[in-house]
Amino acid sequence: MSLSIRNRALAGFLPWIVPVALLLAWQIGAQLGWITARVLPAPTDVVAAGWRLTASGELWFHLKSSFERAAIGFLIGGGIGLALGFATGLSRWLSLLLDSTLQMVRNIPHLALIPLVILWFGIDETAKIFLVALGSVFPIYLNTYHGIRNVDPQLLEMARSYGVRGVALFWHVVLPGALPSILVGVRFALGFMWLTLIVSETISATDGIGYLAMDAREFMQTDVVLVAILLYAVLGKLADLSAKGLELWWLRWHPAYQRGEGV
Amino acid sequence: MSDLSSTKWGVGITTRNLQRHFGDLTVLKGLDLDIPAGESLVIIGRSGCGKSTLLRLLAGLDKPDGGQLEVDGEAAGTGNHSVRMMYQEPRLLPWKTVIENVEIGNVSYARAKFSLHEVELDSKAQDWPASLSGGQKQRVALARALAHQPELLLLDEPLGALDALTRSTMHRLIENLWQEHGFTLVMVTHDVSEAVMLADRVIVLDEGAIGLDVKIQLPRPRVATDPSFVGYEARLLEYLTGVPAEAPDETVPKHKRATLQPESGYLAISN
Repeated sequence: MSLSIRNRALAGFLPWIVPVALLLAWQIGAQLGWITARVLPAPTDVVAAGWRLTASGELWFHLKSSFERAAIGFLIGGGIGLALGFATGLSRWLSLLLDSTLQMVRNIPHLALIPLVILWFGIDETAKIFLVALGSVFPIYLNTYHGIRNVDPQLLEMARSYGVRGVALFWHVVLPGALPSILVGVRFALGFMWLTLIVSETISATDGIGYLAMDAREFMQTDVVLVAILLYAVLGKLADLSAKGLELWWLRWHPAYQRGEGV
Repeated sequence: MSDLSSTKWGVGITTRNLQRHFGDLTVLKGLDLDIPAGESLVIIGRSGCGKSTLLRLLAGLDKPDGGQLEVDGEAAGTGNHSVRMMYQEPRLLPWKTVIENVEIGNVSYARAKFSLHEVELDSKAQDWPASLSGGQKQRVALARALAHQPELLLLDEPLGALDALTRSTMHRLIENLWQEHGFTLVMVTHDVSEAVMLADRVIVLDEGAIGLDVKIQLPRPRVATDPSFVGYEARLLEYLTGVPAEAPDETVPKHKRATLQPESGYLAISN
């Protein structure tokens, strides 16, 4: 694509037209009373609500709770998924023993377990972390297993013939070879992590962004509900960006991730 | 670092009645072969003649079904000899820099650096393999093998994917390093010209046995246009195709083209 300078400026401008127009229409519609504040408060009101919550410290309090839940659940679930993936990827026997069961369990939507989880753990912190962990296990498990199984056998043969074995073989050949696939799993798992967190926080909580939204609903503070939704969007984007950052660093050897360096 | 290049090493190989089967298929049927220490032996033959199988046996990547395979008088695998293989593909670890690839298998930084210098890739030490050309990648693979000071270096058509110019540069490089280090060199190739260029001795494998065994008595460095060079090429081609090499292809009846003639084939040509 060769665009002239004028066209390039236009290309930078075009994608913004629709969102800005929508935002304007929303603002004008709200101010003129076409849209009632209970349905959709004006964007300026949402910003004001966000500012109010930030200033009072409430926003940080809920953000911190949500972030902790997400992080703990993700680390537990991701850790288990990674360990299981390594086990089944590296051992033919463990793969025969575990993989078909795991593939079966994976087909159960983890959110379907909510009633059961409430029966087991009640509605406290454990239940939410359990659900988040459960949502993160399988994407990471599947992609780790797949990644290890797909490490180039020619590279393995080469490394073995050069005397690289055991832990060194895993560390220098198997793990880096599986890493692109594992990171795909991490990005999927992060998506599931937020989804699960939102659902579990909306069901029952006394803090967190989900609670913020549900509490605001009770008092018909639609502006605060919108702030909560936007927060989820921002957090999801941040998680995705950090996963992308890891890819850029860990896969910097990969032609697809090189930004014109070296070549 | 001065002693890194000066060492002379090489190891002799002996096989007696060496056999390898894959199911019903006999790939090597009783191969007797002696490779003196420091010799450059090139094995040619059609696809499926057993040349890659033989190389993998020599590398210890595969086990024979019968017969003996001795490296320097000891049964293969029991001795403490450094045997290294270069494959058709460079097989570099893409997530390691060039120098890290050469360091694989507990090679010191100094040793790796020196090997890279030997293949004239000093300047690429910190680059990723993905940024190298095909010929450069194979040179890194060569440096990686050299860093282990191989007594036996096995080359499994490592130049097949390279363009003619790069290939001829690689021929010179391999020849120089072989002369410098004195390791035993066993190379498998499809390319008759490559065989005559590098070999002290060419053997043609034919259905799992030695069909032809020719000493190439030409001074080095060799020139591909030299009449006696061309003569060797013609002789090998004639054996491989079963057709006198001088005859243009069009005049050869179709049924004769791809047939080996076993009776005449097993006569070794003497010099």
